[in-house]
Amino acid sequence: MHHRLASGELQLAIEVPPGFGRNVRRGHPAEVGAWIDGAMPFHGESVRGYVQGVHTRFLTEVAAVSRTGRTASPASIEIRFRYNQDFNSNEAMVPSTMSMLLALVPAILMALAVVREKELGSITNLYVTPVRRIEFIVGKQLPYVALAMADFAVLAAMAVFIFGVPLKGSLATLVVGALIYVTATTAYGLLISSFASTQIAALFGTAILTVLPATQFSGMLVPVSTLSGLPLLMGRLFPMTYFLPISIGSFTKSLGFSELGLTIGELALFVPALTLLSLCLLRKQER
Amino acid sequence: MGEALTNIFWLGTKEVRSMLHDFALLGLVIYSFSLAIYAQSQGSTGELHSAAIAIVDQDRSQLSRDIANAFLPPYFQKWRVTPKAFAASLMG
Repeated sequence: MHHRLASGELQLAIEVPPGFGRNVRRGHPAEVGAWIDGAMPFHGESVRGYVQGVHTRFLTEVAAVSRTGRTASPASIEIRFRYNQDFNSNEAMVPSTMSMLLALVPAILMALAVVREKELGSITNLYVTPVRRIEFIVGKQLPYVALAMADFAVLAAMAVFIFGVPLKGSLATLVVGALIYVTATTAYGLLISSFASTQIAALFGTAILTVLPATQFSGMLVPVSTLSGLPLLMGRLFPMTYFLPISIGSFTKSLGFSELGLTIGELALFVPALTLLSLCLLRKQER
Repeated sequence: MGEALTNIFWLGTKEVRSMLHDFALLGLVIYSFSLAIYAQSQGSTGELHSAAIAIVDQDRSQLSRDIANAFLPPYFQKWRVTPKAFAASLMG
């Protein structure tokens, strides 16, 4: 048995010692062993929850049988799921994956677009003409914002028509949120492009600076409210943390602008902040 | 033969040298093998950790307070919601 637990073949092993049933019926203390594979804490916690649930139910049933006529539990608990009652994982994962792709792809394209000019040398146009830095940034960013919005349209259509995730909330709120979001994520790419000087650094940098906060600290796997310290800081300073509630809220929780307005406002702060930062870091002249 | 090996040696080390000159890339390499790993280890655990829960106590008895106090940190973080605010949130 231990061998099969070790190989991962078994998640749970239950050991019932001899004389268990007799002991329970006579009211003697009785033990059952439950061996849980804790190597994957996520699965382990779920298995433990089920085992404890079964144990509690068993105890109340025994108590009900032994004290006939009296209800075992003086109070009953009603558990209700507020959203996504049938626990459809598509309704959580599709809007989340959409948020992640809209963080990663526009940022990478944007960073590469600027750094490619540095490598090719066509950035000289910025250095030698009277074009101002803000004009360069906005002119570079707008086509990629438009492209990212086209991505968003495709992803949203796929979510609804292919994955069957209903858009229960307000489409207008989702579109406004997405527009601000992709403006923020392209600005994130611009910021990375301002200190990367090679395309490999831009690609690698955007990927590692996006994937970690996007998958771990923005509420996709673990709620942001449970984080602390450095992960919390990284989560709070990443745009996806604010778009995820907008995306899931619009699709699954049927929320509209009145509930999501504040989050959209917080997300919007990224746009001037990131643009200002890249403006400061972008040099008008090569070093 | 000797010349080919020399060429291969210099072309190979050129890759390393060009990487060492790319400070942004070096910074990213250092980040991804230090801070990124540290942050990830701090961040996500499979266990229950400061799950945000809200308690609406409409009874305000000793028992209801005992139930509320049974949710302890670091497993939970509590948000006490007044019955009035709870009713308002259901309306909205």
